[in-house]
Amino acid sequence: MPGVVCNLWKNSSKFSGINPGFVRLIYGSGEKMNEDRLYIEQFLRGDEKGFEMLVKKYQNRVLNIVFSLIGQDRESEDIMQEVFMKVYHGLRSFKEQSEFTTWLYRIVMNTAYDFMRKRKNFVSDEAILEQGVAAHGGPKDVLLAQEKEAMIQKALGSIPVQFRAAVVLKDIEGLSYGEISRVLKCRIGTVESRIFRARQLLKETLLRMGGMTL
Amino acid sequence: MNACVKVKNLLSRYLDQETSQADTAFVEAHVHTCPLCRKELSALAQVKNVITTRQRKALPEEYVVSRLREQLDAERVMEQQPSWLENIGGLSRKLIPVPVGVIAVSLIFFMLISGQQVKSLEDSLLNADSTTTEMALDVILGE
Repeated sequence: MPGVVCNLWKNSSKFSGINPGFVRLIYGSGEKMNEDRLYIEQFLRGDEKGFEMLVKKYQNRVLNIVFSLIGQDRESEDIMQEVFMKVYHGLRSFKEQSEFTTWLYRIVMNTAYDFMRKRKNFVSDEAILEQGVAAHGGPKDVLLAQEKEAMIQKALGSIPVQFRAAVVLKDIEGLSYGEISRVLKCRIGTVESRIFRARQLLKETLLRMGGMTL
Repeated sequence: MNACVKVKNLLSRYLDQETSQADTAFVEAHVHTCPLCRKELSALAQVKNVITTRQRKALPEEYVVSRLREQLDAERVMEQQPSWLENIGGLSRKLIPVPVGVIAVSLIFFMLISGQQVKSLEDSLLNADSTTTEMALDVILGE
């Protein structure tokens, strides 16, 4: 049958939210709906499994972005939860004028910014470093890895939040400059300069802290 | 030197594979011959690598989903509970202004009465006969 594309979804853990052997027939242009759109449609039809699949897909990405921005474990989880609650309540009015990820990451950024504005007295990076090392008396390489992690987080925390956001979206999440510009609502040139400045500052800080040698 | 300045401004973008073909070729050709720019590129690449390869946190899938379910269920319970106003019932709600009005009228009445009494006291003091006033002064002055 001309113009018919048959997609057989594999029964892997990635697609466990969709019934095994699910077959989607696409007529005409052959344009393939992406996975996120499928989950959103599923949710909008009243099946909350669609929302759960979105959560499972993005929860760790959101968590890592937030943690890189604020540097606190428990608060990162709370913010992540708040992000997905906003997604749940806002999904019905999400008009799909942008990619779901653009919309999601914007919510992540705004929620994290709100937290940072309200909690200016959060635990310092030195305290995080000390807690991390003291609480986990284990093998030396584990301690070293934790120290390195704390050092990286301290370095990230030392740069302005706008630079931090850009470099996190680029190097943690792997977004392109164009995608970052849509999330942060700024020009691509601005994204480039923020990432450039972020890396310059991180280089200086990491060299000073001994977290890097040239 | 101009080439070094131009290349340094392109290095971050080059690392992210966001340069045009022409700029990519320019950077690669220059870095091949310039040790300073090569060192700078290496440093930026290390910084990028440090961030890119840092440990990623991961939570169990069902943990996050179940927490969200709990919070959503709690929200639904709150939405279903009527507010204290709804609990009162229609007729009772209409009667609420009555005692409020009674209290307001009582307060106004009390204020008016108090005002009259103060005025009466002032008048009596002003109009008191001289004998009474002199006697009061004698007492006060101890004569």
